Amino acid sequence: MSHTNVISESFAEPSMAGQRVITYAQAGVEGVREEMRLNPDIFYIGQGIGPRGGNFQQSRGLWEEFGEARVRDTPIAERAQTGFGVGAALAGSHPIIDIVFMDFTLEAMGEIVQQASTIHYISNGRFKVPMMLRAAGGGVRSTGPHHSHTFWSFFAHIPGLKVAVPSTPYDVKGLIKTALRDENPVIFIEHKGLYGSKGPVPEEEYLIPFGEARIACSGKDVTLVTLGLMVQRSLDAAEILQKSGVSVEVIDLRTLVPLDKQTILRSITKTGRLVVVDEAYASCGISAEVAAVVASEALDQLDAPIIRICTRPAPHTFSPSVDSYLVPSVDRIVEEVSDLMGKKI
Amino acid sequence: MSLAITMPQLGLTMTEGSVSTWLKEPGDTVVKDEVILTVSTDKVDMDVESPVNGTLKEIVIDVGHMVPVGTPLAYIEELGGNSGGDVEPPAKAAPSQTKPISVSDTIATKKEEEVLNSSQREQGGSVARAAVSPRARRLARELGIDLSSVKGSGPGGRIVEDDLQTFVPKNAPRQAEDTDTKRRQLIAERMVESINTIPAFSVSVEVNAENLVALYESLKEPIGKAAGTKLTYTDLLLKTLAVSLTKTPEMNRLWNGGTISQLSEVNLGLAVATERGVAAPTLTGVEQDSLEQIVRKRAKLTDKARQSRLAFADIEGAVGTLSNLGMYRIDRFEGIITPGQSFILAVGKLQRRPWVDTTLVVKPTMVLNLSIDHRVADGAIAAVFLQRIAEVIENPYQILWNSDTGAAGAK
Repeated sequence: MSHTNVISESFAEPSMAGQRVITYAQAGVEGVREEMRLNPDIFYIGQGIGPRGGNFQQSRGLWEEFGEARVRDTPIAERAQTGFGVGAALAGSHPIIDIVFMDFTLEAMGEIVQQASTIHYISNGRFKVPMMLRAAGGGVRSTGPHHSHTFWSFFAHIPGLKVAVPSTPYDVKGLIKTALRDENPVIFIEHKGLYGSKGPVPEEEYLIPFGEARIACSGKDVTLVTLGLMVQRSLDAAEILQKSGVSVEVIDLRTLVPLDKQTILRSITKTGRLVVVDEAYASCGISAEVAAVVASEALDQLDAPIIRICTRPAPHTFSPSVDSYLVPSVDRIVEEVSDLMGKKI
Repeated sequence: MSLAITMPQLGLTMTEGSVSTWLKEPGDTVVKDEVILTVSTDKVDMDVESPVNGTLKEIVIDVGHMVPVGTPLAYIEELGGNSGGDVEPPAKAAPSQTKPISVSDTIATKKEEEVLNSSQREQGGSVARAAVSPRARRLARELGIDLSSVKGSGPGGRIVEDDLQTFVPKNAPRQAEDTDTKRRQLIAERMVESINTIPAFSVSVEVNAENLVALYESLKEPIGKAAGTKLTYTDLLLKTLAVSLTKTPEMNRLWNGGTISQLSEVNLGLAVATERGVAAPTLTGVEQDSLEQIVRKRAKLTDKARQSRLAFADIEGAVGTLSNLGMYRIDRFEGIITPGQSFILAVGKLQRRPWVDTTLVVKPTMVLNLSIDHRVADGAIAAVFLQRIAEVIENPYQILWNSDTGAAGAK
């Protein structure tokens, strides 16, 4: 089963009639294009993002419009790319560094964690690194351990980095524009499984502020806090659970840093139950962070233990059957939430 | 019903132990709390008591065998069969030498879950250890629900919020809220009546309170001592109002369904914030009172207001109300006239602000806003009245010598 298809179908809801519907990848291109037109300091480098238009069509048409001077392919050298970006940012530009597969952000970790995130602090604010590091995470079609990872928590762990993980075309455009107006480094992580998904995106300009989670569906019995591809799976699970009388509220974090605690806490106050669904691993992940926030700031509101539904702790596989077992599925979400509610579904 | 006596866990780290002595044999009668065996670990020996009255049916672990914690050691046939009533509290191990421990763990039944559930239902004895969600615990605390009377419906018998819905006491602690609601309704009615029936307008002025501050500073010690309670700016303002009203008898009047009645003494309301909403007790004959007497009266009435002990006589008869929000960071505000009265004076924070004298200087000032019932007085009178108040505040020493003037409206 291709998740991409499922997601595309889910997005094509009747309520979108009359509005312009484009893909997640197109929404990203549109956001970048608008900002590049507004801000001549923005340039875009990465592997295959020039004439080819990006591995996932995430930069399609930018090279044609802005030319080689502002949209340029680089060798396969993530650390060099990122170091170049940090330097250019210090010199007054606003680079977009596209790592493409986020697995390879690891090659650039020193530049990201030791340089980009710290310079604002160690220069007492005199130097800033307005740089967007763009990468695509998540597994599709069982591409194995080197092309499937969801390392967003690595970055959320580091002070000085903002981290966005959009789940809809609408959010991609609004958030990528906000990212490109930030004076400090932003890690912008799209999901490979969502690039083909479609949704309504206004043609006019809009921005989505960082630190504002979205209530993707409103409910009263249990709160599912999630992000990325798992938003759609959580919504699908919510629909199934609804039939058994379990009313699920789904919160799409949209940004991990800053984290919108208030929306989470308000929801928990209403529902009394927290489930965090994350495609990343549970251990020390954003799911642990959300659980800790709720346990320390809303313990008295909890009517049940907090549970986390995350990718099982093993490397991603090339085997489709094993990989779909590792990554949270709609069925698994339904089952674990049912158990939490003491219901048999 | 047959109860298993199991190897107890004596301390957190114990994983196994052995029976050192059996004090009973199969077929022996055992009494609740009677010691029936001793167990030993590498650290300690401990007596184990029977949790129930009954008969020792079977010993399954002999002396000297090392077994894991939780292993059944013997079975007791409980007297009276399935009554369940005596199951709780569970066996206590007599702490023969060291710390007392809870050995509820030492009993288990062959149908452990059933017994646990029935005992929860019938006695609630084990609920202290049963799972209760933090949310349910908070709710129980707020509503004063005894959790031992609640059966949990959550996974594993956890008590959750839903289980408390039926236990919300019908007539219990919501009383206070009802009274508060009534109080709120009363305030609401009066305010709406005011807005709907009184053609009010307001005038305002900023006053230099330098001299008032000086007066307050010089009087607070002696008056505080004499009156036995603190002098406040509110007291000075009450006296100021009384003096100003004495000089402006046109304002010491009430609208009386088509006619105007002149008052012979100065009765002033004072807005008091209480936990249960605003109250406005009346100080009568303020123009006759010395500052010290005003301090006493005001303190007594505000106390009564805060304790919700105001009688009807304490709240009637005022010509206007003083509302002082000077303790908050409020520059100016507008009051709503209490129906049956003619004005309300709203006083903001006393604070250092720019003030134009012959030059621009900084002075302690406050903003007074006087709202007036236009049926009682016109704009010119309101202006004169507020101007007098301002003059008294700026030359406050007259409130001392003026304190024994005659009746306000008589002249």
